[in-house]
Amino acid sequence: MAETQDLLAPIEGPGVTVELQPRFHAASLRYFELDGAFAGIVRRVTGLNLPTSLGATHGTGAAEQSVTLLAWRSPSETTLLTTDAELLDALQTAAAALSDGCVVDQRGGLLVLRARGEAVPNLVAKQAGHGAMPAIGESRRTRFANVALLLVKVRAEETLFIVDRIYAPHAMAAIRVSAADIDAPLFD
Amino acid sequence: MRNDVGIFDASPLGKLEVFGPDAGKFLDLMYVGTLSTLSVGQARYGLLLNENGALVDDGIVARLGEQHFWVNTTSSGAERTCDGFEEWLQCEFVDFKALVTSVTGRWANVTVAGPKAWQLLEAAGFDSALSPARSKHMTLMPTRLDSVPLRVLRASFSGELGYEINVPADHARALFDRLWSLAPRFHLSAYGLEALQSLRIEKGYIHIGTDTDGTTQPGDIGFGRGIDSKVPNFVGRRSLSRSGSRDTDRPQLVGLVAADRRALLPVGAHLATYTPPNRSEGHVTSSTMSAELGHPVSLAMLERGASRKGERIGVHHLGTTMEAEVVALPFVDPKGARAHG
Repeated sequence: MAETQDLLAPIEGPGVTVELQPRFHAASLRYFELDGAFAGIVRRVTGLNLPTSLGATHGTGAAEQSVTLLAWRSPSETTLLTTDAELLDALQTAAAALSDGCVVDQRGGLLVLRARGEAVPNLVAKQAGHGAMPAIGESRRTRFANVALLLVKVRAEETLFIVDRIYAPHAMAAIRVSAADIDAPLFD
Repeated sequence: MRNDVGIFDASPLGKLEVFGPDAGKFLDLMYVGTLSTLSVGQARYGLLLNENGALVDDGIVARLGEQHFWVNTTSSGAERTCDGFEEWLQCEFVDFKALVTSVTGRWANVTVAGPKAWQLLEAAGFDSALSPARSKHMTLMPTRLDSVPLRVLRASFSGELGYEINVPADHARALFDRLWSLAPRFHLSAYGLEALQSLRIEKGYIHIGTDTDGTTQPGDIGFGRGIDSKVPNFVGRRSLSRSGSRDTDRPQLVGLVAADRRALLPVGAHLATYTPPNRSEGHVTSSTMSAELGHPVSLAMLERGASRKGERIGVHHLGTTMEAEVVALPFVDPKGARAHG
């Protein structure tokens, strides 16, 4: 039986690389309103506004080379990724007493795959169709091989695939097949 | 494991967090039992029905805070239950202030159970507040081991003193190794699903989808009491008042032991007083060789089963017939004292 780490090994294909990005800490931000007390706490701690529909935003923090990213998932949920563990701790503490939103710690539960290369749109199209590829500043929910993913693009040079840890090996296996077959024509 | 202590990887169990001012009210609508009355730290077993009143999932719900609940689902029902909750919130209870988030991937579950469960955990450095004297059965306590956050649920699917230790998934291996390093001292054994099935059958605990099917209702498995007096509505309630649901001939969960005390009754075998082709009165749902009792035991769904204890009935399977006695459940530890330590 293959070890999970083998299944999550980096993928390289013509014009595309996909690799696990372990430096991110993840959380689900859940809220009832985009402009309530919870949103204010998020703004104060991260320096970022909760994104509106299909939006994704990012910023750099005080900690050395830290990056924080907010990606819209639904009208009541934004995924937070940060390289600064203390920022996530601070946000949890600050929001603990609120009743209009909460921080659900997903560290170790949500994995981030970083896709790079000119063939990434082709890879995404093969897995989920042309409409699934986010533009810069966008976040889109889709499925690869029936596994739910959140595709996030905040910088031109990379697209992040956010996936539940449990299903990450399955998603990577599907990506691996498409990456190896990246030059084959699309039939959709 | 019933003599010493066992360790089990229960990580696939579904785990949800339900948050919001209406979280308790929402869970009352989803589950047969009343969950809004739980105090912080308290946990309760819950049955989930579909609109037809049939059992579709079960699990333990615990209160983490005034408006914050922890929900365990079955392993196979994890996504279905989360999606179902979301659908009810989006389509029916749209005014409810409740948010449902899956944390199944975030938390692994290392279950430690058996008479020496606490001794093992104490030796591993767990907080003394988790001792059986201070931490009651069916409670959930957030704690830390070193700096790692844990959510420890005092519950038991084996009937023994049990600790379901929810640990961040990336720390699960380290916790398992830490406990396993103490194995020789406490005769710790690792057990899997087959053993767990045997343990839960001995206790008469149902396994959704094994002992139940698309027709099974709470009253059929002994959870009918209190439904009529529950004040809040809940999904499936109307269906429980239909004439078919009130039929006194409905199959009910029973224990079975072969008359010769040696035979393992086949799962799926039909129960009938008279040899087929007469009408079946029920069927065997689970069977195991009971290590505790030294003979096989079975669970079955049998028409009017609750009132037929002591009765002998034919067990018919592929042209063979055996005789079995209908017995009371559970087979082991009928007073349930062991789970309290």
